[in-house]
Amino acid sequence: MLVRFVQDSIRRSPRRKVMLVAAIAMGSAVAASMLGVMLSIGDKVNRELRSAGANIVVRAKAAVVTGGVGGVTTASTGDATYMAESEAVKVKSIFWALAITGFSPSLSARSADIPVEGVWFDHEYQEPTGKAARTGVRAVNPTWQTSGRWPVDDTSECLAGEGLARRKGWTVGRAVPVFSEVCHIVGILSTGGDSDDHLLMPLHTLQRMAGKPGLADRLDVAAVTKPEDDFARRDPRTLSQSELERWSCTNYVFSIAYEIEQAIPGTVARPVRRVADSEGRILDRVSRLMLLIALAALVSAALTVWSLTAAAMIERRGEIAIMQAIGAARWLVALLLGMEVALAGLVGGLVGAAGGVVLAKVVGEAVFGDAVEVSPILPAAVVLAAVLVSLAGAWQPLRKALDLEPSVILREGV
Amino acid sequence: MFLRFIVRALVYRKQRLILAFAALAVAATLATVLLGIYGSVERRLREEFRAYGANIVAVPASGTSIPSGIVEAARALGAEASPFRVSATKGIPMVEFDPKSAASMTAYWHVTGTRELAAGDCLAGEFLVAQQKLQLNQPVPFANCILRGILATGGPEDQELLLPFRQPAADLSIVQIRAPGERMDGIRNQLSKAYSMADFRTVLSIAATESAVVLKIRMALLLLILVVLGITTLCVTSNFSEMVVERSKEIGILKALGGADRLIGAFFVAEAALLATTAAAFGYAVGIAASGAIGRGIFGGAFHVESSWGIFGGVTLVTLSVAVFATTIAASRIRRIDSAVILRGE
Repeated sequence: MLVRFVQDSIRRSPRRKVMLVAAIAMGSAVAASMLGVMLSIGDKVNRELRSAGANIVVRAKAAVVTGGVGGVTTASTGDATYMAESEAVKVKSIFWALAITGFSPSLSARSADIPVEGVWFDHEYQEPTGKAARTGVRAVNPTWQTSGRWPVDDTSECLAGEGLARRKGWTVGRAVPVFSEVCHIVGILSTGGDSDDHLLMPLHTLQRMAGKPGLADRLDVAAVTKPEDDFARRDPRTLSQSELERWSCTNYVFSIAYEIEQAIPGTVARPVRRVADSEGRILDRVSRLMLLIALAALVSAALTVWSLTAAAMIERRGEIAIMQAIGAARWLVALLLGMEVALAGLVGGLVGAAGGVVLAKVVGEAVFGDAVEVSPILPAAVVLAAVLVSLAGAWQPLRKALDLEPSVILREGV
Repeated sequence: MFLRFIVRALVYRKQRLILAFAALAVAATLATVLLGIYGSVERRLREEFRAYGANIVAVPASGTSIPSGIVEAARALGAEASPFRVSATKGIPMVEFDPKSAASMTAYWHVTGTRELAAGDCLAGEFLVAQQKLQLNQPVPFANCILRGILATGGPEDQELLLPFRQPAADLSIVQIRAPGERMDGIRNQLSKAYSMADFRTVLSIAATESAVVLKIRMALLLLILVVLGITTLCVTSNFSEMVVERSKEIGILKALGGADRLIGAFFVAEAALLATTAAAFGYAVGIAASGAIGRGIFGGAFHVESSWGIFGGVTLVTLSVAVFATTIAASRIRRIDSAVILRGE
């Protein structure tokens, strides 16, 4: 009986039902697309902010003392201590390995008056899973620019910082003496930082030239992190077991640095505050911006669906009065019409959620060049919300119509 | 008579009117909020990027120092600038700086103690403190100053002693400059022309990140605004079409009384226009308050929604166009309505 009533109702005025379903679908599409983009934009912006360079620096304990401001170093003193280059890949064995987007060990040396830095440019290594992967300064610093080309690892090619190249009058193609050998400049590097005054060459080549095989004095790590809060700043040594688990299971820059120290004994891993603090602040602002815009859109979508279902119910007061006049109980009328509205909410919600997910992916693709990941829970939640909001919209006019005397509605056509 | 018809129609159908008004007002509010935030978001995000510190660094192109005039020249161009002089005493890197101008440029410094320094006070990086066994509020033996704060930055500052300029800074080692993101290249070029002895470097990691993030957030907002407004428009359109269809009986009576199709259509369009104008004004007022509150919630402090009149004009135009367009489409059905059929109750 119930199914037949709903079927007949749809057959009698299909256009009106389609309009209602379409309106619910549109509201649901707004909700699904906004939530889809909002929930993933933090991660996308976080990856964009990774182009600001390493946010964790690892050094051997009691390492070299250098001086400078910001990214520009001007003096160095003290006895250097080293870590093994082979230890660097251990950063990919920590719990948060997937959050690490790049790392690069380096070794500093001086050849006459030239500061030389040995680095991995685009080095192939084996992850703990056995999978081959590549990393190096190019992955850690995607904003660095070269005129010419990047050197190939394990060769005698090198890259001159533009400040150094200008002072020395070096150009691409020049062979310059380094220790007792020569390196061939294949590119001029612009970074705006320390490296503009350095000669960069493959790490293994510098290790051989400087007589420090297998050694590095610094490891730069770029990791996708969660913005810092008060809990993040707690000293892990003062945390209880459950707090330590929660702290370690959140990708704070501190917890990643702590894990790196545990994975590579004898090192000190420190967040680069200039990068880590600033990106936390920006991420926080962007996430709040998207959250509030999404809330505004959700409220408007809910109001639209609510007003349309309310209007649809107002139109059917005559029908309700007839049903009551021929003896239908209040609960039966409410059940029949409620089922119809719920069905419209379900169909509209399904169509809208599917459309919204597609829209979210289109926006993600257009802006970040990478489709956003939408959790399967999101469309389900949107469909549920569409059904509930539709029922909420229908509730008040339905109750009002049921409360009125059928004879009044039928006589006056109210 | 025309006006009376419209006003009576609105008064008589109060409940339907409230729902249509609500739909339009929601659309107008949303348009105001989104456009208001979109107009201000770039400026506010760029201000947030100031936390990264300098986006231009001036260092000696040759030699060991640069003139102090760079600081004033950069400030005259609308940038913030902070001077630094780096030297070494007994093998320990020492940096003289101006704590006042450096404060906004080095907001990321984490200081245990205080960074408010008087003459004779100094800061030391955490590595140097550990290495030299220095203690807070105790004299630093090699620098003739009292240690007031321990610095942690993750950068070279962790290994040095920082103290306020002891003499007026004539020759500097580094000048950190924070130029407004959108004018950065122009300021850098002007400074480079005026001071050829200095190398003005764009800090690419910061400048490029700022541009990329600001651009992408603006683009994401714009696309979301288009999606939301497009869908809201479709919703309002369907609502208005439905209103005309519902009133077929009324249209039949008007036609039976001799009303021309065009005049009846004009009644409907005028009714929708009146409703849309009122809804736009209401939605705009609510939207301005909401976007101000949202802006304050996100960025803190006063949040001014720019180009208010432009936004108001845009919102009114969008709301009016949507309502009139939807009613015009629906009004085209008026011609097909046969008054005899309607009045017979079929």
